[in-house]
Amino acid sequence: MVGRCRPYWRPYLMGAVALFVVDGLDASGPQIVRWAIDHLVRVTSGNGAVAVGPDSPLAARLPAAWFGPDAFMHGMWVYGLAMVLIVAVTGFFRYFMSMGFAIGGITLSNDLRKLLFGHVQRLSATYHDRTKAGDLMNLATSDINALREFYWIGLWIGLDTLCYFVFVPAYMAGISGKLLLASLLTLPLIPFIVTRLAGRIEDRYEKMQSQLDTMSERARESFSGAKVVKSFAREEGEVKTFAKMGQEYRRRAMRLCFVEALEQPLLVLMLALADLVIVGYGGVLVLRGLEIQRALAAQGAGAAEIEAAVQAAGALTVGGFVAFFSYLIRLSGPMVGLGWVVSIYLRGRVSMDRIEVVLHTKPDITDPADPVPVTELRGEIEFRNLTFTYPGRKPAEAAAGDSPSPPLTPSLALTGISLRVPAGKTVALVGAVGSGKSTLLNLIPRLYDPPAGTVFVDGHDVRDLPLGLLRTQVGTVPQETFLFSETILENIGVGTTGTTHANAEPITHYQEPPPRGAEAWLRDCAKLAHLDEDVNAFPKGYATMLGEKGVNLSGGQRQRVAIARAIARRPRILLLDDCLSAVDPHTEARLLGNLQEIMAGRTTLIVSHRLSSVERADEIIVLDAGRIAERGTHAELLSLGQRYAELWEKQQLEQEVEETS
Amino acid sequence: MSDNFEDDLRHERIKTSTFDLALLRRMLAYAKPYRMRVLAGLGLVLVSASLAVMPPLLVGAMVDILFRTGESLPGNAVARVLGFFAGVDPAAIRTMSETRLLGSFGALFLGLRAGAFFIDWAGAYLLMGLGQRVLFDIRQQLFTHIHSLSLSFFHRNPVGRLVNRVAFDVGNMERMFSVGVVTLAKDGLMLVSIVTLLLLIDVKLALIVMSVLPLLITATVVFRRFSRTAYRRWYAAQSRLNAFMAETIAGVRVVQLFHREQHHEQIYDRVAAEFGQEFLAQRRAWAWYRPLAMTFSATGVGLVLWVCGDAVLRGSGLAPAGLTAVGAISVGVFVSYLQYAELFFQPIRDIAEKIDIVIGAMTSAERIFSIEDQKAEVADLPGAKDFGRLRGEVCFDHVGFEYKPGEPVLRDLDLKIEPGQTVAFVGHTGAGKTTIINLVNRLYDVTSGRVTVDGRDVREYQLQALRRHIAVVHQDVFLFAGTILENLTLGDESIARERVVNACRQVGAATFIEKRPGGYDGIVEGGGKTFSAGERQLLSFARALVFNPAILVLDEATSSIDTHSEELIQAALRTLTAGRTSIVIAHRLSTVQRADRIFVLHKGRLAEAGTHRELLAQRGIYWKLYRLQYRDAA
Repeated sequence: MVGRCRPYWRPYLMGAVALFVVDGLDASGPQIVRWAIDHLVRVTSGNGAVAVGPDSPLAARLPAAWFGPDAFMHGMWVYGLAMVLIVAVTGFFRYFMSMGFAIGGITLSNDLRKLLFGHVQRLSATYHDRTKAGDLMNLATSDINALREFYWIGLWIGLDTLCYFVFVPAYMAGISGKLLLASLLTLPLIPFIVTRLAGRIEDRYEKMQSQLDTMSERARESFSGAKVVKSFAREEGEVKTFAKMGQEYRRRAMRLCFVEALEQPLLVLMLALADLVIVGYGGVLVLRGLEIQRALAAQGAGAAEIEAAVQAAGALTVGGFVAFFSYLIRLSGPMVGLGWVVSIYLRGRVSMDRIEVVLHTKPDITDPADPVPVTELRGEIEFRNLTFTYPGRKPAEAAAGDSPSPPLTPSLALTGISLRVPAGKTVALVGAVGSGKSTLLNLIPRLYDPPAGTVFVDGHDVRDLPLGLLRTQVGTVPQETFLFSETILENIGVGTTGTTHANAEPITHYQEPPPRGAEAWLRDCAKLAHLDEDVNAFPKGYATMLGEKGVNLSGGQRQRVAIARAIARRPRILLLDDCLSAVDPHTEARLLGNLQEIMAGRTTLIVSHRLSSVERADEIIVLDAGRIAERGTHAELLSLGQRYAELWEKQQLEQEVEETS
Repeated sequence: MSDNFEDDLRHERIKTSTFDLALLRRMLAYAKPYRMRVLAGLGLVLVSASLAVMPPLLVGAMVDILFRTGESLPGNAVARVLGFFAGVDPAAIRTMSETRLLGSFGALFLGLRAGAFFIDWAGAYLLMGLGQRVLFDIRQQLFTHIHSLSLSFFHRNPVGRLVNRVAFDVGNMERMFSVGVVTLAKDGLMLVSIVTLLLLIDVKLALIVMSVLPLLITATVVFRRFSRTAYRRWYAAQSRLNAFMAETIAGVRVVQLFHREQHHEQIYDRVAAEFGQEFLAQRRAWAWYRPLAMTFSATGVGLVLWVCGDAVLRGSGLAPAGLTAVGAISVGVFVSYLQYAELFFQPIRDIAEKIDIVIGAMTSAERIFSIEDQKAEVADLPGAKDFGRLRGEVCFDHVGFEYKPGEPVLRDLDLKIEPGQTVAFVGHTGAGKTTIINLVNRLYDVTSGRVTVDGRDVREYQLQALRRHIAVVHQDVFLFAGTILENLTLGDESIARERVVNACRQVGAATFIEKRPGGYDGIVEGGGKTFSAGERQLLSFARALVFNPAILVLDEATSSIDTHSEELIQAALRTLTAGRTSIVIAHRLSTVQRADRIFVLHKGRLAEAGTHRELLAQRGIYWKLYRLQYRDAA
């Protein structure tokens, strides 16, 4: 996991170097305090007789006069200044430490997210049917966040802890090795208990959170169904149910509070053990040290001599004693941090595993290894004895744009379909829901992959055609319209470079509106789709934002945007999947008239429930349970006198009802 | 997510404005029922804060007493305490054996820590528990209130926003009680205790050491301002990034069909880079603040080393020299001061962090209160009564209605429906058909005229009493997550299972329900996506029948249904309408033909009325509509 940092070594190196300096300097702080106190004790002890001369390593290196009885404030300013300087210099490096790890973490996690995002986009419809959009979003948000935490704070605190455990004990050993050993004995308990407690907290937190999710879900349902709740006067029942859930939530929350309230106090209590060792054992050592000091001072021994004697006896000075407290507090932070780092690492590990599962999923619909070298399609479509089975899927979240939901278990959608659509012709598909009409359309642009040797465009297996070419030359109007939160114009121009050129290429400039000529073309398309009037009624016209933050179009308007979007790329093949269901009959009639114009010269496959929309097709295919039941022109099918004719007759009958009454 | 973000932007002004006392008072009112708990909790926090500032004092006293470095206030105070426990004169403490002294100090430390442990735990648990109780109250109150509001409220507010209020904002507000109050009270009290102790020991020294406090506080205030803006921008960038990714994933088929993958990656780069920059900007604020605050804090320690160190030396008989005229102090006091100077920073930083919780809670509280302050537009009028079972006569008496002022949907609608009649409303889209439904069961109130049921204005009824006898079958059948049974009774436990089963048999829903795993106790998944359109329609019929209404209002589904289901539905419809007043917003020819009377609405007015044959014979609007809808449009 750490290996992923390698390409980002620069910020991390900066952070690590700074961290090394910071920790080293930081650990020297209590040292100043120690020297100052020892200085004071030395000078003030000895039965009032003043022991002259500095004894701290700091003072020893400076002119003795600075610390003399007549010196400015007895030279104590030296210690104060040293303290401030150390912290100020530490602060300077601290900045680079913080930023180094932050830059590393954010860059790495952003890149990782991009990898994930790009990959997910390229996974086929089959994959997206099987996978909940919410799960993918969780990967891109919570899991990536967990990894950012690891690559930022995790590495930072991890390294910090390591450094502290080297520097601080080194300084402590310099004061008293024995006391260090004694006090360290109590510390290992801390990470152990902290980790265990953290585990319990997390566990109970999740239980509480899951209840909150349940409640949110309930509230969502309840509010969404407000009309029903009101109509049946069921408000009280809703409130009661919600209260019951709330009580369960409170119970779980209280269980969490119980352990959470324990966390901080417990930590302090554990430090108390170390305190006790320092007070008890350290106290004894100081007393011994003081005895030596007094005895030697009475003999008129020099500072260095006294120092050496105290050291030799393994005793402690008062300054060392106080410094030990400071060091201990400095160690407790990393101790807690250790437990923290472990849990950040574990969480990151789990997230990384989840993300890698997706990254290792190979997109099953890709460019062929050796594509047929064509640059333009004529638009001839052929199905040769096509049998298609949807792979099974888990119950997927019904995301917007989720055109006809494939079934839950592997299921046969199409059987033995053979059909040839000459370039420029229009073929209509009719049949009951689930008869395979949409499936047949989806196989042409390889939204789902047909078996090899079954679907051909211009005589080439679609699996051998360059995927980009295939998809840019097929214009689809899906059954359910998905529009992006962009302007209306941008939505219409989704599949174009913005030029009027027939062989449109994907746009590459997001921010820039298409060039002027292109905008005119897009508006023309909008006119053809009968959208122009509606759009002009908006105050911002074609610049109107759609989606969450913008205007919400009616179902019919959305479908017309989708039609404009599909024809704007001037496709050779136009696939209309029951795309007029939300358009009122009046508009439909006019729209169909316009579409005739567009469809001319383009291969068109049209699915519709309204027979009136397909009457003029060159050929009409009646599908039943995935098989071709009937085929022929309108007239042929009528004379055949079967399903199609029946359906047609029914409509006629309805008209007659009117005429006879 | 983006809903949240927009709210945030709208509340930005409020957020950056100062503490709102009235708001705070209203928030705290929720704690009123738990007054004793609050007092007990705050008492414990007070004790806990004073215990937390003791250790430095104790160390100082220990140095003075045990290592005999001098006499001082802390030393004397601790000597008195020890004397009290040992039952000897405080003065005698100083002459005690070193071993006994060591033992005593050890015991004191241990006692202090153990006491603090239990008091902290109890205090925190008490106040967190309080938070949970308050949370439950707020959430329940809000939920109840939302349901008491009129339908128009639900149209104005997207469900996502309401859920956010109930789940997220209420939780936020709770944190103010548990985390906010606990830590703020404790940190504040700690700060006060430290300052008090320092002043008690030596006023002048205390002032010198505390001179860094203003610097520290200024730095903190400035930082907070920076970091809050930076944080908000980061949060906004994150919302944008998430919204973008969510949209792309939701529309992945369109992305693929239109070959936009690369293009979306470019957008990603831009949005993600912005996100990264905002993240770093927010971190930069921290990276500046911490070193700065630590340096100021260290200046306090430096001052102690310098001024207090000098004071110690002066006390030892050295010639008075130096700037200040402070009195002499002992080494023990020096040690205590040093540790206090280091302690200063902690509560200030804590407060700086935790104040955001309170401010965040205030934002959330405002949002919650803005909902709670809304009054139901349609509510029981004073003197509203329950008139029991209805006969089912419905009358529109010169009814005018508009959702938005100046845009009338119904104009001077005047018609009468006899008990037991089945009437159909037809009309072009936007003719005002659906509005009829909303007026009969008083989801909205008329703008002019009146709607009467059994001769009484619907506003004379208690809302619940009226609606209980009117069942509405909506076009978009709403199924809740839960069992089929629960969906049919809508959670009303007083409805017997037999009644439900019976109703399902009558409308022909029993067949497919019983075939499903779990039957009536089977779970409805994904809003009922596993049912066909026809099945959903039958379920909604069964639901209406279970409630055995005097008046049935039905908005027929427009979706195309296969012939078999169509027959089932028509049969069910006959059962459903038998013996009760039925008002149907009709989309199907068969339904219209069967109706006792058809009302044709046109642009909000009643244009024609009569039976199917009569209306066709008139060759008026109905005839035109009929041709438009049922004849080949091409």
